[in-house]
Amino acid sequence: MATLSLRNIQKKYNEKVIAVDNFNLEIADNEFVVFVGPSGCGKSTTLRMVAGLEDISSGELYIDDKLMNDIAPKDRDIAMVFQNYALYPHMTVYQNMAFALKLRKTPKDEIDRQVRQAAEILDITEYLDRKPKALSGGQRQRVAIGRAIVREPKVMLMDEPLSNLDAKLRNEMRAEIIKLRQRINTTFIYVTHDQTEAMTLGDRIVIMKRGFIQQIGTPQEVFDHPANLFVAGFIGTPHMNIFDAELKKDNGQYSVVVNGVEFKCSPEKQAEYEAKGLAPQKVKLGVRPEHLSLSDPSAPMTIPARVDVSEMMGSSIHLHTNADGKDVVMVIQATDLPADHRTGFAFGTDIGFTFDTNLMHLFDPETEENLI
Amino acid sequence: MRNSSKTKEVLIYIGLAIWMIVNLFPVYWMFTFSLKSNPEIFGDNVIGLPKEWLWSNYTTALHTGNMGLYFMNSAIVAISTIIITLCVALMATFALTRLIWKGRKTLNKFFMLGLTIPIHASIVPVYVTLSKLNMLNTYWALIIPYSAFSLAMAILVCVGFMNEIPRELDESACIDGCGVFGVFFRIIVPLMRPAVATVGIYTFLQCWNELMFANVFISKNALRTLPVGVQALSGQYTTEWGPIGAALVLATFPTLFVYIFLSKKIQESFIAGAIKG
Repeated sequence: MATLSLRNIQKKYNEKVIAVDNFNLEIADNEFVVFVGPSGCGKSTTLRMVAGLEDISSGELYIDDKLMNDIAPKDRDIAMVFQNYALYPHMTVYQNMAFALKLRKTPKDEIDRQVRQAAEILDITEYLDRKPKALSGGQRQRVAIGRAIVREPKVMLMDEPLSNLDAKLRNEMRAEIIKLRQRINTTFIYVTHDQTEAMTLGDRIVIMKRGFIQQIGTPQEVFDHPANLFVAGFIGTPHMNIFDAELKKDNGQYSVVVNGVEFKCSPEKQAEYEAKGLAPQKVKLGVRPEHLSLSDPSAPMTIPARVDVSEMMGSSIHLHTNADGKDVVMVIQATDLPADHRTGFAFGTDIGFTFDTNLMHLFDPETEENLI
Repeated sequence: MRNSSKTKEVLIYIGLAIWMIVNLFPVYWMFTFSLKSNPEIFGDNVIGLPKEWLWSNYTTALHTGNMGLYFMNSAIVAISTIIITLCVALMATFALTRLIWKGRKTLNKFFMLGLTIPIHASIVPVYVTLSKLNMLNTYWALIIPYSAFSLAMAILVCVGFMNEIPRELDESACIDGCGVFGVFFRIIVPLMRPAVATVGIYTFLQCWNELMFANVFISKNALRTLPVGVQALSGQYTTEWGPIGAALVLATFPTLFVYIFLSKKIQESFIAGAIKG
């Protein structure tokens, strides 16, 4: 268990390319923090700087209030799980797991106890005498995790540990990591490009883009209140629908006009906008696909659209529609649909959709920041 | 259809049988030649089995010709060369592929230049250098040049191999508690076993059969290697070819052994990395 403090961390390559910039983050003891973002956003680089595998160009890294910038990886009391497992091919599973303890000159019986305990937690006891090549991908990743936890590190670093696994195994291992986290007391930093992993695993999520932090918050916070258009689009599947809209204020009442249709803002939004002193302006309006609902095209506060693709997902239907030339995705619960549409809609069906203005998000078209 | 494919198969087997005979004949010829007398070798019975099996040729080669001593000298030179070449090549390759420093690519190219220098072209400068260092007529007179000339090929093979070892293994070992030497000895070296086998075999074949350096740098009888020793069996006025054949069989035996039992390893190592596992 440990606290981490990353202060103004920057990583430059060849004095030209900035991979990470102005990275500030405080991580509490025993916290599970997930770095998430698209490829090349600097999340793995940041993790590698915490591990000591990359030099920190500027800024300070503290683990338990101790400056770590110039401390060798082996002396940071961290463990790391790699995307490609990084198991030593010439050693058995037991030897892989015991390797770090052996280097620390831990007594043999203590090594044995710790290795067997970790193997039991991860259900890999029967593979202890096997070489990594004789294991499946999922088993190898369990061994990699076992090798990391056996040392009881202060900080556990995981660099896309589930990316090489198929979808089913990934779901299983995700659940394993959640269980593991409850069993061992350590601080986790987990890197992924998969927002589902980020949302399900993290106490807090750090969303990154092009080397900069976009938002730090709990999964619920970043989902409910994305800081900018990038976060709004990145978190949530399918992605949030973004419309060009206009925020109006008539007689002290806020409303938004989308595709020529005016939506009166809910009392909560009225109060929020009033408190923020928002002026009437052009805005980007975001609504999550699951917050759109079907409506009679002729009803008030309804945007007409035409169905392009209807995807039956089992309990829900993903409707890809076209509203005045703009692609709009809706997620409709199958049970909310009339019986004749429970399996979907035919191509070209005219529909209408509306949304609860309490669930919409307004962004500045220039800065792309959330207006609230 | 079935007949034509069978005919094709038979033709292939006939072709392979001919190829096998062509390849095995020199070995058969050398072995039978080692058991014959001069009249049989030069006329009576060139390719047949010996009329009289002269095993005494082997006794002559071993005792009169000192083949046992030359065999030992060759073994000392070859094993020392292999050990030095492997140690230097592995460490150089680690520095070239795993450590980050300016000039490593240039140095790698410099090492590769060694592949272009024919061993015979350097005989005079090497002789002068060894002479000035008072190293002529010592084992080192052969071990050092042999190691130096084997190094370029050894580094070429090792670089290919080491590049295939994922860097995450080094990083993982660093986090687990290894320093540079720990990573090298505990992780990289054990994983380089196929390359070590290849380089070992290649170096052995190079120095076991080398004649030019061995002839020029060693004039002391007690330090001669096998190829020079075999050459010395040829007399000024008369030559007994049977014992020379016996010496050749003894000299060739380790090479044949290496080829027969370890050639698969060489092939594997040369194609390693060509196919993603």
